[in-house]
Amino acid sequence: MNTAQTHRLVDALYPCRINYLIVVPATGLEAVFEHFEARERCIYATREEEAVAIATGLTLGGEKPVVVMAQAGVGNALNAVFTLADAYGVYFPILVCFRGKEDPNLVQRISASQTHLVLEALEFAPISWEAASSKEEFRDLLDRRRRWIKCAI
Amino acid sequence: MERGEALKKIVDHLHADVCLISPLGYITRDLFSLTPNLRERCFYCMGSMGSVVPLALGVSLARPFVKVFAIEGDGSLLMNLGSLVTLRRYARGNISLFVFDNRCYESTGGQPSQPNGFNIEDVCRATGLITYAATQPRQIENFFERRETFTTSSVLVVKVDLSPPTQRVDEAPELISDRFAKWLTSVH
Repeated sequence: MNTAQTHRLVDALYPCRINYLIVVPATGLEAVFEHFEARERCIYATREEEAVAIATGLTLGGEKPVVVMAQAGVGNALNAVFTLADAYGVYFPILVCFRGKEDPNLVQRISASQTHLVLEALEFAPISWEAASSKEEFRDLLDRRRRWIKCAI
Repeated sequence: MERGEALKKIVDHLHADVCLISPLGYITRDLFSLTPNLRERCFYCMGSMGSVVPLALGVSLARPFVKVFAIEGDGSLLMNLGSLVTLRRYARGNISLFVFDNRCYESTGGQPSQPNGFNIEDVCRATGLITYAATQPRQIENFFERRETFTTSSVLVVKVDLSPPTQRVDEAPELISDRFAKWLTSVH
């Protein structure tokens, strides 16, 4: 994700009142992490299901978190999403960073291909931070309580 | 120590600004029976094994004026040991973690959860969390008498025996979360 895209993403979060970033570090979003870390609102989780549970607790307490994870972490997150966030009706967005099918790492290419199928079953919404309209698109997705949002990095 | 007796000791300390989060399985079933008049301050997990500690961390960060009692089983905690490190890193002092240690997965038939000579309190201490162990009800009382129990994020490992559970949770999960969220945001 280039600098302009990163700024667009950060700028999109504020109008939606997103005030916590819960993340298992993913390549390409370092500037986003640093932005929230500087405000002591970035929590690095050790695993994706942990990130989902932290976000659930924050939301119950009235905060507005977003969970960010790499494509490889989607499988790790599913049980917590299904049996905690979904089952208890607690909404927050999960942003999945895709490295793409052209990734030089063969294993990551396999992961991208297979995880895409999982996300299709979860009815993900894609977003491109290249488009100037992405901020409005993101807000609309949150208004419609879309859980899984996929973005290319 | 009998599990129900130990849980009762904890429930007795659910003061007006304290909430409780419990894990799926027998512990939540027992707590549901013990807390008919405290429903709004209890979050009864019925899934997501291993998620109590991070869930409690999120609640505690969002509501710093609320004290959060998080109860986990030893098997659940082992499923997500990394959460102890995250707790150590981010907790602000308003969580107490109670690990109910029966050394097995009781609700699935009692399969062992730990090798001989392993003490889960050693793992908690190794993360830097203030940790105590209780084998008798009086030691649970001692934990509550310590000032740091209400001012730091500390751990009490409660050694419990096997015993059959009480009733199942018969409320819808969305009702539990809505009621809990309303209570949380009403405390200032």
